[in-house]
Amino acid sequence: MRAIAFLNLHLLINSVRRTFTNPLRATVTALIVLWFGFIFLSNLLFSSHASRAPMPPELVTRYRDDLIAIVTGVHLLILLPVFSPSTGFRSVQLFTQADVNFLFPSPLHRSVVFFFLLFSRGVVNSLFLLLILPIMLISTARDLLASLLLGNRPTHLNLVWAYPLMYLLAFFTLLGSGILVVLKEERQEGSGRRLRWALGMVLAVLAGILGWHAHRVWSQGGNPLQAVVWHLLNAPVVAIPLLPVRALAESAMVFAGGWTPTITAGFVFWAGALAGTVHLLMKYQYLFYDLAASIASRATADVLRWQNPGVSSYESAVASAAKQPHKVARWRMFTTWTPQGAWALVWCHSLLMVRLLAGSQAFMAILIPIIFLFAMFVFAAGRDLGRGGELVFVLFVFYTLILFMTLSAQSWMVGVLRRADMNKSLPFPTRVVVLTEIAPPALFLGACLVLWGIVMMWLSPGNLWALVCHTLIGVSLVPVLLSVLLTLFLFLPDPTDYTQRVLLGFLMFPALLLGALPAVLIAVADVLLDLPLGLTTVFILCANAGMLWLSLHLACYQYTRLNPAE
Amino acid sequence: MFRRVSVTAMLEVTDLHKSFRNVQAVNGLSLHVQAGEIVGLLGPNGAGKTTTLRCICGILQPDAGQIVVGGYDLARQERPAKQLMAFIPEAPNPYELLTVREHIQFVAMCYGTMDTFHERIEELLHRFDLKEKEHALVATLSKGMKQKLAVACAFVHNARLFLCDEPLIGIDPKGQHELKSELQRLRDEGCAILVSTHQLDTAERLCDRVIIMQSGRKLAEGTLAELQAQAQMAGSTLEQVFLRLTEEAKDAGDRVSESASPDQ
Repeated sequence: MRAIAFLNLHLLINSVRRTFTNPLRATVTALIVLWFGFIFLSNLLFSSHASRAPMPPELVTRYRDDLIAIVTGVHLLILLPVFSPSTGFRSVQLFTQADVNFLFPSPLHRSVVFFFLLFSRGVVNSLFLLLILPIMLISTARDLLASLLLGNRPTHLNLVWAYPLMYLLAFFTLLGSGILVVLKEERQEGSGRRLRWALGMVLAVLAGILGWHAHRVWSQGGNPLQAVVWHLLNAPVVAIPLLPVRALAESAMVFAGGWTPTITAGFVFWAGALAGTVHLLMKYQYLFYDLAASIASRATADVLRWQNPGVSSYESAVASAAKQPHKVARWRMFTTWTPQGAWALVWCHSLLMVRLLAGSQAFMAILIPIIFLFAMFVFAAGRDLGRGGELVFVLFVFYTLILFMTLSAQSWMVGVLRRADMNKSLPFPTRVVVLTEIAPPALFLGACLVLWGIVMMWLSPGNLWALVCHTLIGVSLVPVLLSVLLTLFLFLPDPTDYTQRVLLGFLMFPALLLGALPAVLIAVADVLLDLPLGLTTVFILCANAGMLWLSLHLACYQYTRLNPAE
Repeated sequence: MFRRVSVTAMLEVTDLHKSFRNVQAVNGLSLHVQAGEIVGLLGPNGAGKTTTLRCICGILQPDAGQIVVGGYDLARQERPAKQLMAFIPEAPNPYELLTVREHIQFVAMCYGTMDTFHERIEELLHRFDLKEKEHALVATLSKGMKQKLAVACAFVHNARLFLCDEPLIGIDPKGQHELKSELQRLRDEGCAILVSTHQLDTAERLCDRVIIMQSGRKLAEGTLAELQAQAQMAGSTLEQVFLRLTEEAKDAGDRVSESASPDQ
C-alpha cells in the first residue's frame, strides 16, 4: 500500500514538475492557475452578503425541480459509460504496462494492488474535472447560484461533502460492476451482453414513457419539458428506477436544498451496491492480474486516442484509408506527377492528405456545411431578419464553420508530429517543411470555402459583393488558423502527458481566436468607421498575411526544437 | 507461516496450460531450473515464451498446471514465491514520470527491502551506468537506458530466481557484456536463471541448458550436445540445431493439419 501510494504521489508531483521545466509551458500554466485563483479570491473577498428578495415559493420549487431533473440527466449520461465495459474501460487508463512489468510480479497482495490502482486511477483519470467543477462552482458562484436558482442563500454549506462522497460510491460501484462484467466475459460466462441488453431495455422503456407523456402534453398545447420534469420526479414507474441517480442530483444541491430522504436512500443504495460488487469481485481475485494485463495492453493505444481527439481521428482516418487501398492508389495525378527536391514534400503530403480524407470524409466536409448553410438561410429567411440581419447571421455561421473545420484538422497535426523525425532529417530548411505541411489542408479547406461561398452567393444573390469579400477573407484566414494550430501542437506535443493534454484542450480555442484577432479588429474598425467593404477586405487580407508570417515563424522555431523521441 | 513443498529445484513447472480465448499459448509445458543454472528458453515468435515467463512470475494465471518456486507453490503461497523471483521484461515500459532513483526505490518498497536500499542503490546506479541519470525522469532516458533500469530494478532485492525476457535487446555492447557477466556471477552464487532469447549465439555461450518451444509445447530440452544428438547434427551450432528442429516440427505439424483437412 505504501509503495503504491508512493508511486501515485511521485507520478503526480513529477508531472507538475515536468510542466515547469519548459519556461513557456510553465508561464501559460501559471497564468491559468493565477486566473482561477483570482476568481476564487475575488469571490471570497468581494462577494455580496446583502440579502436578496426571496423568490415566491412556487417559483423556487419549479426551479429546484428543473435543476434536479437536469442534474439527474447529466449524471445518467456521465455514469453510464463508466459501467459499460465497451466504452468506459478503454477510455480510462486504469492499468499500464509499467504496472504489469514492475508491480504485478512483486509480492504485494494482488487484491490490494488491483483495487487501489482501479479506484485511484479511475477517480484521477475520469473524475478529476468533474470533481473540480462543483467545487469551483460552489466556491465562485454559490451566492449567485443560490439566489438565481433557489431564491435564498446557501444554508447547508456544512453538508457539501455529501456529493463527492456519494459520487465516489456510485463511481466505484459502476466501475467495479463493469469490471465484473468483463471478468465474466473473460471467463466466457456470457452475462455481459445480457446485462447490457437489460440495461438498454430499461433505459429505452423509461425514455419511451417520458417521450409519450411529453407528446401527450404537447398535443394538448402544454409545455412538454415541464411534463418530462414532472414525470421524471413524480411518476413512480420512472422515478423509482432513477432514484439512486436522483439522489446524486439532490446531494449535488445539498448546500441549498438541505438533506432529504432521497439522499439517505441514495447513500444506503450505493454503499450496499458497492459492498455487493466488491464481494462478487473477490470471487475472481485470481484473475485480477490477467484482466489488468489485458486492459493495459489494449489501453496503451486506446488511451492515446482518448487523450487527444486529434490522435483519435488520425488513427481512425488511417484505419479507414487502409481498408480501401484500391480506391486511393489509383489517383493518376500522383503517379504521373513525381517531382524532386522540396516539391517531393508537397507530393508526399498531398498524397497523405488525399488518403486520409478517404473519399467519404471529403464528401462530408464539403456537403454537411453546405446543407447547414442552406438550413441557416432558410431559418434566417423565416425569421424576417432583413437583408443586413440575414447576412450577419449567415456570416456568423460561415466563420463558425471555418473555426470548427480548422479544429477538425487536429488529426493532420498529429501526423505532422509523427513524421517530424523523418522530415527533419531531409535536406530542406524548416520553413519549407512547415509550409509543405500546412499547404495541403489549407488548400483543401480553401477549396471547401470557395464552394460554400458559391452556394451562399447562389442562395443570396443580393449580397454577392459582400459574400465574395468574405469568402476571400475566409480563404486567407484558413492558413493562419492552421499554422496557429500547428504551433500549439508543436508546443504541446506529448498526448501522454496529463498536463500537456489539459493545456492543449484549454488553449486550442483561444489560440485560434488569437490568430483571427487582427482580422476581427479590422472588422470592428470597419463597423465603427463605416469603411468600404473592398478596402476592409484588402486590410484584412494584409493582416492575415502578416499573422501567417508570424505564426509560421513561431511554428518553424518550435519545429526545430521538437524532439519526437521525447 | 509458509511450508516449503520441496527444494529439489529453484523452479519447477509441471503441465502448464494457458490460453487466451481460442488461442492455446502454452500447452502442457513442464520444465525445471536448478539453483546455480542458466536455462535458455528458445523458440520462434509466438511459441509461448513470454506467456510462460509471465505465468511463472505471477502476472498471468495459468489455466492448469503447477508452478513451484523455491519450494513454494505459486498458486497457494504467492507472496513468498514472488519474494524469491525477479522479472526482467522484454519491453520494460517503466513509469515514465518517476526519476531513476524513485523508480528503483518504488521497486524496493514493493519487495520490502528499504532497510538495505540506501547501500544498494548506489551500487546499482554505478553498476548499470545510471548514476548520472539518477534524478532524471525515466521519460528522458534512451531505450537502452530504460532496459538497464529494468535490469537494475530486478537486482534491488535478493532474488534467487531470475526470469529474463529478452534482457539484452536495446542494450549497448558494453551493457550486454556486463549483464551477461552479471548473470554468470548470479549463477555462480547459486541463483537460478531462466532466459528467453532469440540470440542463439548468446544462448549457446551463456546457458547451461536450453529448452526449445514451438506452438506452446516443449520441442526439445538439454545441453548443446544432447540437442545435437537429438537433431543428428554432431558438431553443429545451436542455431543450426534450432532451425532443423523447428523446421521439422513445423513440417510435421503441417502434415498433421493437411491429413486432418476435410479435402484430403
